[in-house]
Amino acid sequence: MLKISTSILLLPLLTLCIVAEKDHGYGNRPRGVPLSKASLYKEKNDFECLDGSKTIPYEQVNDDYCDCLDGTDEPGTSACANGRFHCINLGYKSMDVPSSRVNDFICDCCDGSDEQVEISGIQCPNICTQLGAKAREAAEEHKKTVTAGFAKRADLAKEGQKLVKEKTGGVDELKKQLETLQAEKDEFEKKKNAAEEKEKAAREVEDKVWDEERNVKRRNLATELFEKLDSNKDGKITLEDLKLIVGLDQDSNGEISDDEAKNYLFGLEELDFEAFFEKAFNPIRRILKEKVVKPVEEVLEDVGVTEKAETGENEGEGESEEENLEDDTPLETDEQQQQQQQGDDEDDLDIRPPYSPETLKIVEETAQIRNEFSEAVQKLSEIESTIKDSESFIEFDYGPDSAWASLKGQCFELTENQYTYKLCIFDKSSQKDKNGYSEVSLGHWNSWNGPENDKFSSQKYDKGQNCWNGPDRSTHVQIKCGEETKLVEATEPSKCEYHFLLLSPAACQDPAKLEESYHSEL
Amino acid sequence: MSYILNHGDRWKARIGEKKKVSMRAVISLFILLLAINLCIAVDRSKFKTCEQAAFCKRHRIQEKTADYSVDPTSVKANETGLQATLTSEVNNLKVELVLLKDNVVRILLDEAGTPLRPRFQPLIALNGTPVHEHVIAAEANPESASFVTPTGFKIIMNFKPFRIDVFNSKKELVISVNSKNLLKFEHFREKGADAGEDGFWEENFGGHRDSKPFGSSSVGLDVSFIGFKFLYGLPEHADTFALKSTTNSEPYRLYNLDVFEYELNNGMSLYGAVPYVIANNPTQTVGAFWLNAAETWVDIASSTADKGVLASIVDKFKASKDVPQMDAHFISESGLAELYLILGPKPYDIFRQYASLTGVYPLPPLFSVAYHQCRWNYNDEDDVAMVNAGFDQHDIPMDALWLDIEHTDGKKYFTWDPVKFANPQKMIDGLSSKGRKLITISDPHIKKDDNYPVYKEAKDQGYYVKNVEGNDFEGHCWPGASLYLDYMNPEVRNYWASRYHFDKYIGTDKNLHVWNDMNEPSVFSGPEVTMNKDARHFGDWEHRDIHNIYGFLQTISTHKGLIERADKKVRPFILTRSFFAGSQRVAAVWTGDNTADWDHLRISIPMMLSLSVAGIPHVGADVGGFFKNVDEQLLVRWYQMGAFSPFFRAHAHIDCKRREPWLFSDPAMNAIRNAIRTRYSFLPYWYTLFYEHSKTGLPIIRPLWSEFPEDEQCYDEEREFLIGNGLLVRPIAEPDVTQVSLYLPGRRQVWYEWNNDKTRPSPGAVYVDATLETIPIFQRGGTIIPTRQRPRRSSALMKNDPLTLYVAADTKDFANGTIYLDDGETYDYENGQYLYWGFTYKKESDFVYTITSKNLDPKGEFDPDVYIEKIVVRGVRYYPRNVHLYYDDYNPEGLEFEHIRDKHLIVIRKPGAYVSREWRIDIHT
Repeated sequence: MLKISTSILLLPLLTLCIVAEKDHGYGNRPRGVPLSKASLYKEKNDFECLDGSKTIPYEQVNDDYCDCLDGTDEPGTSACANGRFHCINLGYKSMDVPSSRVNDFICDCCDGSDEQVEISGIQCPNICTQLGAKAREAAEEHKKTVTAGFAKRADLAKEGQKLVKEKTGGVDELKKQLETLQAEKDEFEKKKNAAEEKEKAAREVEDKVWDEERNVKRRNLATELFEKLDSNKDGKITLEDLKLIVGLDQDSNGEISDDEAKNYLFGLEELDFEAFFEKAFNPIRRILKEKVVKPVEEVLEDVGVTEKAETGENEGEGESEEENLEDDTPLETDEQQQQQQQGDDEDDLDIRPPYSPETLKIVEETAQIRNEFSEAVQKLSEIESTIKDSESFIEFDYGPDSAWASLKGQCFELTENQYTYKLCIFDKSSQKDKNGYSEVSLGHWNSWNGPENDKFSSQKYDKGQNCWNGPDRSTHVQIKCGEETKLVEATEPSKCEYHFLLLSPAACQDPAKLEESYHSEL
Repeated sequence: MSYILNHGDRWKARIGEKKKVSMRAVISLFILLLAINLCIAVDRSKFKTCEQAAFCKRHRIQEKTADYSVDPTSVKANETGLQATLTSEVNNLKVELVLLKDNVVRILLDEAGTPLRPRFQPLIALNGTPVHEHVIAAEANPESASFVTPTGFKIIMNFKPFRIDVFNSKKELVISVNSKNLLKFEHFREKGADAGEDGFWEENFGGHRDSKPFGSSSVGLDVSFIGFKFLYGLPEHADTFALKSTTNSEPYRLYNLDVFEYELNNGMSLYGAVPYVIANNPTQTVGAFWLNAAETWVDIASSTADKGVLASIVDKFKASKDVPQMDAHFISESGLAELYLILGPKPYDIFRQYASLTGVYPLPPLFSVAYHQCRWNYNDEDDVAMVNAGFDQHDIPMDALWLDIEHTDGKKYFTWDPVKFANPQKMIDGLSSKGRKLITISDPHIKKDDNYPVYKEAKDQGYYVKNVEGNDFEGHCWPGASLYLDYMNPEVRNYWASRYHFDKYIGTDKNLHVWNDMNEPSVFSGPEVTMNKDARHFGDWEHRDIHNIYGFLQTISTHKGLIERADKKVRPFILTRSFFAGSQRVAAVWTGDNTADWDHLRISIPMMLSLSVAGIPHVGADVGGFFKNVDEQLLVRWYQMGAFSPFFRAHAHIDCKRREPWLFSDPAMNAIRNAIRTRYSFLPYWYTLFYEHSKTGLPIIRPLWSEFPEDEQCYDEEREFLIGNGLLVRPIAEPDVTQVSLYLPGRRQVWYEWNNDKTRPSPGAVYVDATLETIPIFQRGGTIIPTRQRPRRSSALMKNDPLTLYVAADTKDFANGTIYLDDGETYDYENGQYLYWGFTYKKESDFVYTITSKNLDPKGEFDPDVYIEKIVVRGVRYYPRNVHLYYDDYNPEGLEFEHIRDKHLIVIRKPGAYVSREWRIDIHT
């Protein structure tokens, strides 16, 4: 029992000793309080919690019991869940750590002040001097990089600005040209329209004549066929007549059924010439023509009704007539050639004879003018697209000094284990398996997306190839200052969300500014 | 999956197109959409229904029952029970009734005579051989034989028909076995001599053939619980806590399976099985444990006793005409009919009784009770280091970081990816320097690769499960072609255990613990994604006989290995997905591959409660949900749920976005940090509960009825639960909630709202704030809860931190509570290095209230520098004038305190009293 009491009594004593014994540079202020707040912890006064919520006797500061809601009465113990402990870290950077780091058996401050050996049993070595030296070394190294990088950034900027200027300047020049060309094009267009009007008129006159001729020709051919088919010459084509036409055997079963033949009566009992001309002439003619691919003899046999020897002769004549027509077809224009090719499939009656030399001349002249017009249009669109390119180039944000402009479209690669990663600035990001499968898109340029005060510290590429059971691939590119632009890190922290680290002089800040922050830290 | 979704969209589009759609068309489209939605969750066609399992079908609907009766001449009574022969037209059986220590009766049924084959008995589930108890007053007459237990229960075996009735000390009939006469016992037969029924000698399912060389040997038995309306237990199912009648649906199925994207609210099998049913009513709590490791189906029915065959008996003892009754019909594919009746009579009794049968969860290392951070997968050592640092940077405590399968070299367990995890020991050191642990996965499937020493050695030794032809069984799993270790063989268990030894598992030390997954076993190429039933195990058992203990056997081996590797000094932690009754002796369990949606968050409570009452206390669901991306609100709520789950681990599927807490908005991250810190502040309480469980079998988290069995209002409560006896929590599992109503159980209890000290009487519903950062928590009047209010980076760093006690007075101004402390890590507590102390608050007189501490276990000698830094007394209805601390009766020390009148609080400032000392605090009014 006696032993118990003494050890209980020891507790507050111990705490006092600790504060007195090892001040780690806190001087007269309580342990864990930064110099800037020393005036708020005056031994003579009661202590007012820094949020003003409560006033407590000064003895209760750092007595290992949390009195203040804001945790400010226990800057040197772990009593307050929301408190902060300030380590001075002489020779290195001072810092604030959460109170939970005080006496938790882990050395967090380089001066070891967060662990009190009397309480946690942990004696932390003071390593601030070493850390300071290392930090200064690293800072020097960093400064070198930044200095060199910043110089290179100036070059990049110069180059970038030139590019931007070229593009901007070029656009004005091109825009002027565009105006002239536009006028020229309009002129050509007017001319072209006039010529086309003229051409159209000339053709129409001749076409009308041809149309009439063709009608006559057609009727003649129809009459001829009608007579051939009308086997009993009663001026009517009946089912029986049709059944004699071998060519109508659509299913090629060697006989013409009623159904097959009926198709050509078009719902009528029989066909007189007018009905035949109107309805049946074209289809029957087409059917019979299809058989032309067969040798002539066979066609004759097919078409010919055996009893009627002369039909074969007639058909033969028809054939030669067609051939003649084809031979005579002029091939002056593409248009006509096309028409002719179609005509082969359709009806050779549509193939017209050539236009008169006068008309053909007009056609030729019109073609000439049309050519000139389309050349003007092409030139115009070329210039327009150049302008568009330049304008879109200018649309990108190349940073305050345009240093990123010269890197646009440049690609950087990194091979890590199984994959080669590629980043094309302002364009896309991709990944390729070493074993040579095709490239997988990890995203297309989206935007700069650094924090507000440091926008140019990262880029986002998205809408890459979709992941099975997941999102579209995307890449977040973090950018840091480096002497060369290079891709140094590529990871996939979440499935299909990639993280790249790119070093570039374009991200190097003025070393003069660095100097300031360096001095304020150490 | 997206393909199916597109179908759905198309259907919706079509509905839009058609201007006039008949109601019927709309309904059928709706049903179609519903069906499509179901497809997204689980492919039901992969898994059997009872109808598709020949034995289940035969037992469930028996056109002709066997009608067993006891041969009166065969009845033998001995000191601890009865034996007899049952006869029927089908076959004869022998029955044995044995009274076991602490009010448990075992009923064992086997074939009479010499069966063609032995039947498997999963004795591994039992924590040693149960101790027999002498019966009192054994009797026999021509109709029945009976005995009485020392606790006054009477067990009567009725001869014709065969039936066993259990009466409690108030002479009420509480259990009746075979009252539905469904006992069916398929004896082994000679092949060829007996054609058998459909599916007796062969079955096919999903393109897999079960060759059944020994035919069917199924068993089934019904148990009725008389006077009960509620049954619980039978984990693992994603279903309500109170078991539902299965009369018009599928029976609950217990067949350990790896179910991809499991669906909620049905009795389909999941990863683990505990064939144990609990019945509770205001005066009696009983349980029935069916010890069988084969595929098991359980039909549940609710009825009224006086309408059944028991009408005459019930009438004799019950005044009421309308006695409720619940029936459970156990059906197993092979093995014995072995039933343990656990007779209570109160909830605490059945927890203890069941625990004495199957064992308790031994005291776990403290870190395992804290927060775990997992993901499939942390990519490499840098990633691990980043996450480790991230928690510190954002001042969020974390105790264990987990590595899923990708950490291995080609899914060869016990190896490391040579590029991504080239320096595992350094990685572990990085974690342990912050008091943290690493947990790696090792699954039972072994990659078929001659260059993999484990594969090669096990092959040479013949350590794999065999197929029906006698060759090594081969299936597909993560590594591709894989073989499965046969843990039925003790030599294999030793071999597996030795894989964890530091000289075998290179790059590990005591700060690495283990996760055993896929141990149902999962066989991607197998029937129902598991092993063929005719596969053959050591001892000439078929896989069908032992299926449900396969994962359990693996974890037993792992446990052995982890203890051996550290010379039996360090307590191991093992997480398992598959489990069986008894798994708690070696492992914690999580609810497997859940999904990031609110329904899955909600179902985690009934799932955890079912496991908890079935003896497996260290349980939890993946925080955030495994499948699918989680939104911020759901994640916050899930962390709040996790903070009050016995096992607290965040996890995510490899296809999900990263989820570390700092990747979310500040309000969300702050809410998550608060939830985790809340967990850490309650760690002394949780740890004490784990200790107490290991002594009493009491679950860590509890259904309300376990503390308030007389309060029938709370019998189906599954939105709120208790942590120990002192905390009630109602985690928010609904979206966009700012307030919530909840039920406070008990009669004339007082509850204190944890966050604002408001006093709430019970029983009754209360309406409380539940904004995103709020977890509704209540302290029960009459309890004292120890906490630690200094959030550290990990639990190990809190070992010397002082305690804050929360005293909650009941209506009689009384409260008590306990604390258990030890080093949190080693087995030294087995040699006295622990402390178990009690605190009591009471009204001594109108003028003095006292808080005293008392050593509850003088064998505990642990004496840490841990003291009480603050005591908060809730429910103070007097005016304290001064407060004194006494270590002895003579030297009082004045203590400062604050009396907050409007909140009825006293806050005693810095008592400074050591937790391992006797002291008394007097509060004078």
